[in-house]
Amino acid sequence: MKLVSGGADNAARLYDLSTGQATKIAQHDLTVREVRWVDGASPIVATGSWDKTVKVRIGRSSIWLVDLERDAREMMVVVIGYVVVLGEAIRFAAECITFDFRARDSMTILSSALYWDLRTQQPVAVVTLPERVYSMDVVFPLLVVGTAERNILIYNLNNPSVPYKTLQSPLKWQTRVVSCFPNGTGFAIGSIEGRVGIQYVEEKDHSGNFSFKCHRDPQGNVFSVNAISFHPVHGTFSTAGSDGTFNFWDKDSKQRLKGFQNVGGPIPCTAFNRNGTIFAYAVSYDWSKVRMILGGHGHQSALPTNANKIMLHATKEDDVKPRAAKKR
Amino acid sequence: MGKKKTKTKVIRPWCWYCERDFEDDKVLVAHQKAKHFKCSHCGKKLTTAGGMVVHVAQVHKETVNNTPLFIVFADNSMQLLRDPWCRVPNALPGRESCEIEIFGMEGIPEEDQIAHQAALDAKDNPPSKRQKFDTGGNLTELTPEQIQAQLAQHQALAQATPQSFPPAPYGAPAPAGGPVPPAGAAYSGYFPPPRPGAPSAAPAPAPFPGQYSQFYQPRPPAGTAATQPYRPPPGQPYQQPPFPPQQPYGYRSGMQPAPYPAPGGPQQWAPRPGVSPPGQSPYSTGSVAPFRPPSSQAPPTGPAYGAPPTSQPPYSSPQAPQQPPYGPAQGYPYSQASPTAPASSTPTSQPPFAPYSSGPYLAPSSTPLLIGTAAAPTNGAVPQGTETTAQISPTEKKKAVETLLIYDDNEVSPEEKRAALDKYRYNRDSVKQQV
Repeated sequence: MKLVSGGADNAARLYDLSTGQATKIAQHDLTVREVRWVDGASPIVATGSWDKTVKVRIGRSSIWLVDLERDAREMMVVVIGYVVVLGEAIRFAAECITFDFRARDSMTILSSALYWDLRTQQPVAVVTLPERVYSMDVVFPLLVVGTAERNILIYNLNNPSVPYKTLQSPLKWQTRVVSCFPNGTGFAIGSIEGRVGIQYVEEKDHSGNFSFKCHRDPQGNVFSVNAISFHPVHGTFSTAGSDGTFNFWDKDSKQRLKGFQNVGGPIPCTAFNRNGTIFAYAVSYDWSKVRMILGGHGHQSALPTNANKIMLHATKEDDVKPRAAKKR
Repeated sequence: MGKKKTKTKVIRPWCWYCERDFEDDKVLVAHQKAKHFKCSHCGKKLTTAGGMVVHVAQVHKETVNNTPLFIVFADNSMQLLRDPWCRVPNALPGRESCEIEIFGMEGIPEEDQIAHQAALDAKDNPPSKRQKFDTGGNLTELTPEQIQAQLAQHQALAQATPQSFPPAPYGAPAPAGGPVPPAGAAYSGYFPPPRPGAPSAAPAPAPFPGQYSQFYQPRPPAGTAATQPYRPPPGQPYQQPPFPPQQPYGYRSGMQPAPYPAPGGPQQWAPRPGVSPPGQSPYSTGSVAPFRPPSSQAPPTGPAYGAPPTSQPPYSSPQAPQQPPYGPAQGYPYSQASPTAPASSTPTSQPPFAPYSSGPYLAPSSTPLLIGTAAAPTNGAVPQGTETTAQISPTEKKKAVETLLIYDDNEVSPEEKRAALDKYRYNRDSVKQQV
């Protein structure tokens, strides 16, 4: 069993849980923003960093590099997604999303999705996006991109250059995370205002759309939903937030399966393993305490005493299995 | 017109405590049991407020205790020191009384029913239509010359009070608002008089539809109503609306820390640029002397504010202690700022204010005269001492139970904020030089 993580130490590491060994698999010049793992005979690990590079490691050795410096001098790689496309033409494509970060004074926002074929040096396709990208997720053939200003773009990767659908987020606050259902019929979206929306792609399923509140405390504090991960087998999902708690939910019966106590710090990232027996979550400061009232930098809360750890939680079958809807 | 339609419209069952309406009585009763008649000690759901009181008294042995309940200041204003022992939870301010027995729709005071109806009417009739009623005639009756004259008059006024709120949200564009009276009563132009025939409890249009609570604000006596017709817009009732559109995309906090200097005291902060603080009196330059913002959000302007504790405050907020203590770590969200606030105001020239300073910070600046123990104002409607006593602002109280976003910047993500720090400024060349 292996676990990959990347962070502000500019490196991505692969932890072999059976031996306890950690191997550095990618070194960047700046914070690693995103790490994605593609399972397979020769597993692929893709890392995207604020240093404007995407590194893709295929199997054991070969490293494939996308350097966006030339195209994106003042841009920043924020999110990478991944998709495995079967067939001869494109074996693998990684999208990396960049946005114009430094040139904000001129109000130019240049944000795009790039589709790559690992055998070529140029992107297969470039799609311009309306706003800065905050989150994206892929379950082939569904690609969902959540951007600033609450835009949601849905792509069908069989025709990736035009959006299949464009919509406004069902939530009223900034999109924090999007996560596709394992069966690709829809996606969950989390916002900074402690709320999660369940959204189906097709019109006929829209009666199943709903949203619910979570990650709030009795004092009225509302925390952002940082991560949503779907259980690969059962289709239930987890949410984790800046409040340092995580929950398991069943979207179909609309109930919470299990809630957990505060783990000691905000949870920025979560994942299930392949068969959903392990739920991994990271605990570290997520820069969420950036109240403008306090000066708005957020580093006041970035204390050296903050926890920085990855926890593995053995899921109980009852906690992640769908449950029949409660009778009211 | 639309009026007829609303008259025939059936009123949905609604909850007196929180002004929500429901599909049917059953849902309403279930709502009341779950929201308002739930024992705060054990969670048991009672059927009525009185039942809850009896339950709390008998099961949990909680009765009126003898600790001081409120302080009365020299100017007859009062400040609550603790919650009255019995309040209906989740109720609107003024609706927390346990003494009124309400079950579903039964027992609702008649004046509140009328006000509710009026609020519904006001919501259904957009203010623009209402305006025609208010002016008592249509606009074409005015000759162009008259309109010109009024326009000039209005512009002169607007220059005299550069910080006045834009008229649009209040439904009365001044040039069309009939003859604008000079200076003194000018502000009534921003708040159209009640529609003839409308219940007096309901001021004519609802500038903020859906926010009924404003109709239950304790109204000043009729005599004073003429001099203080204007009420600053209540704060955002809920934090949902996004930032005002005039907020440009940008990194306000990241890039310009200057407008947010570390304030002198932990309870003070400077107003946010581009948004006029709610309740900051725009009339300080006007000629309406007796005007005083009726909300405790707004400290009195002028040199007296922030003065040493010896000075007598014009008023104190009686309800301040009921707010949760907003510590510096969880200050009040800027998102509360009303989207109707003008972007053109120049807050930098205004003194810092402490809109949400809690009770303990007001107390030392006052001279307590007597300490009350009995006669708890259980319904939250604090008796008004003098005319200058601050009125209760329902929204203010409502905010106390409202939510507070930990991360409140709707425009920019936390990652962007972090990446904006110099530490993460990336220059490939400099990195290469180091290597």
